[in-house]
Amino acid sequence: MLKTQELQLNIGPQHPSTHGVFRLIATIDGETVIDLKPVFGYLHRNHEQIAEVSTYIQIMPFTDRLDYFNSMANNFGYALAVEKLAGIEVPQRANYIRVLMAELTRILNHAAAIGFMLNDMGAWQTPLAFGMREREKILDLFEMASGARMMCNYFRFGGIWRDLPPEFLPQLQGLMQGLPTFFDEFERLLKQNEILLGRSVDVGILPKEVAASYSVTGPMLRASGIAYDLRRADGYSVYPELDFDIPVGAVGDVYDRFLVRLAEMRESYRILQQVIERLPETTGGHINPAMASMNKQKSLRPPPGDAYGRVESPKGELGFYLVSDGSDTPYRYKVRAPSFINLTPLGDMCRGHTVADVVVILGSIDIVMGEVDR
Amino acid sequence: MSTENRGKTYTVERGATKLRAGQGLGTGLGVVIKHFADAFTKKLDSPEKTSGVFTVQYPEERLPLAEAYRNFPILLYDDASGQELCTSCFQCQRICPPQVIHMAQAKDPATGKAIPAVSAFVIEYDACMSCGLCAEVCPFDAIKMDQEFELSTDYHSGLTVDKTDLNRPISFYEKLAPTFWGEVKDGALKKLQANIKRRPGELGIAPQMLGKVPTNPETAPLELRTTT
Amino acid sequence: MASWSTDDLKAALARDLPGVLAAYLPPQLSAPAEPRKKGAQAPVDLLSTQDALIHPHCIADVARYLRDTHSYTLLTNLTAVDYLRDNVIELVYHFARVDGGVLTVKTRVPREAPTLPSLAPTWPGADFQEREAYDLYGVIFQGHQNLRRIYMWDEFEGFPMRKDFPKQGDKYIGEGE
Repeated sequence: MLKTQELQLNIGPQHPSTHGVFRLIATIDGETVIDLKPVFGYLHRNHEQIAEVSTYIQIMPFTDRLDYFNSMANNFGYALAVEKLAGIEVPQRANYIRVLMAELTRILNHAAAIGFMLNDMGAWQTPLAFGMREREKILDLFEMASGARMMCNYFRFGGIWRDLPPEFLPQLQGLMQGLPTFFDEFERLLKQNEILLGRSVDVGILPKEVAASYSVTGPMLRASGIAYDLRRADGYSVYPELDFDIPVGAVGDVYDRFLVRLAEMRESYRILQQVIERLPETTGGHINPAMASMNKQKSLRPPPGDAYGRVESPKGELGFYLVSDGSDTPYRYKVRAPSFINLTPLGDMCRGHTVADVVVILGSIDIVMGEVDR
Repeated sequence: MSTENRGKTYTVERGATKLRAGQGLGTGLGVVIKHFADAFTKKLDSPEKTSGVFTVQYPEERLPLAEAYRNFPILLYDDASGQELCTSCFQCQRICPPQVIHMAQAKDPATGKAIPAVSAFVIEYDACMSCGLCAEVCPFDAIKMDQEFELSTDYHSGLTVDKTDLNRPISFYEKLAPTFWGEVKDGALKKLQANIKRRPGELGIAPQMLGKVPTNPETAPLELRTTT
Repeated sequence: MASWSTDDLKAALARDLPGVLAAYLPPQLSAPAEPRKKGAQAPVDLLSTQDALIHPHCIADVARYLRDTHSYTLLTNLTAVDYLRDNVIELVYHFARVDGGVLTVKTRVPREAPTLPSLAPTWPGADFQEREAYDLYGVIFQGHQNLRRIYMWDEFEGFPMRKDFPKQGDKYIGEGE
């Protein structure tokens, strides 16, 4: 038996495969990881404290910067929490447009997340370019509706900023025609690829019970076989009126996470089809008339109390816990960031794998440092 | 509402996970080669297409911007009279999330009273986050979002922009966003007319229009005015 | 089994774990406070709550009870809130079930000695969230294996999210800049 010595390996904070400014302290024995500790906080800007000195509407553009891939989903969660706190109704049409945006966000996030995960496996840029191409088309739609591609700031309390412009739906329908081709092609490109299989099957297994005890959410939890989807579990907004299935994985390895994301894109596509079909018949405007003016938005003073609003963001459960003391700024504002909590089991998942697998496992979690560090 | 009938839970199909002697690799390469070939013949110019070249040769070739596209805020003034729409009500300064808008209210030199015009207006473009809340809150439609995005510079202080550089004529904004301006045009001009009556002399006229437009005809010369 | 309401939770806790529920008595406003200035807000009793309020030393029991007996398997969220005026730090736990429903459990510790048992040994998902609460609020979780700062650097002094942490100035440079 060869005598070996443990070694501490520092990956990051500036490393191309760590998805931002993120550091991993790995204890390795040869190529095998014995222990791994994530270190972060390099991007910490105390978002929560900034929020405690801002009025409620001023926080909305800051939420865009949490998970900068999914600003619409972040807006959704925050708007939902404030609406719960202040008891604001949302008209049906606004709700449908919100769901439309949230599902487009899910498609673009998963397309990019799979692409980045493949980047981490060494398929440098080719699969990512496929995902990015679709993402660009969706960002064009966001720009048309909200005025910005990534930092949308589109949601308002009680509705959304503006109704969809007339050229939005034709372009969306064009995109919808192309999406199935994209899904099929993406699947053909990757699903049975030997290299992907070799790198991801039985890598980073997170068993069902362990995943639940780690409070993991989103595609990661579903890949472990637990059908926990807030769109079903909470049934917020108009999701109870929509048909969609919840894909879950059987093993809980990196390959299952990849497959669950692929399947979720198809489910989002189904939701989009239903939303587009129903959108012309929806009632109510794009915003609750009581909250329609910016004056109402900025002088919002919810009654004292607390509320926890959460949405199924593409990365998992995105929750906002708000405490109001009756003034125009929140007394406490807390973000339950899915990327942050999904990182907790990283050390456990990597144990026993090689250093090269660590990068793939990290890629399969799909983190965004803007949200982890807040 | 019952949710059971709205969807089910299913386990994703893992397929054959054993290596099959390059078969999957070949399928994947087929997709890549098809796209590679398409790149020479096709152009991806509408959303339903999924192959072809979709990059453009910026800056020679530019994609159109959406009407709603917003970058940094600008101030508007009336083309004909040169009067600024801003009345320094401080709404945008208060709502700005990163607090980059600063302004000072104009004062009547004769009486020292505040009048609805702005004497100094500064926006720090370097810290502006383009959220658009200022344009949304402005009750006089004086501050709007510009679509100019090529602002990179090696002169950092130049990104602290004052009123002279922020001012744009209404016709400029009307060209950028005809629908948006059409919605608010009548109200904005009506409010401007009311405000012009309370602006003596040159106050409220955009700096670049001074000398090109007559001073405010609605108000009498300074020495003739009675103090109110 | 349908998801619980707050009252169900309180009833179940009173039945199965006697003695964990803490009572909150609103402050006795004996004498009418001095007449408020016109326009000033009435002081709000931020501590009054409808949610289940438990004694801090019972949190691990309650968490285990909810998980093992009633399948609230996910510790979704863990938040600290600083009530400076009332001199308490409140810990808010959100427990979620896979088939829907979320329960709020609150507990309060004094600001000077914010100590309570950690959930991390039995519930590893609490690991980072407790470290966050320690980092930003200084709450000590007894039994946590690795209670170190998570966002701020290790040498940082003070707890930046506490309400009495200075919001202006730089502690290393001084008040001016």
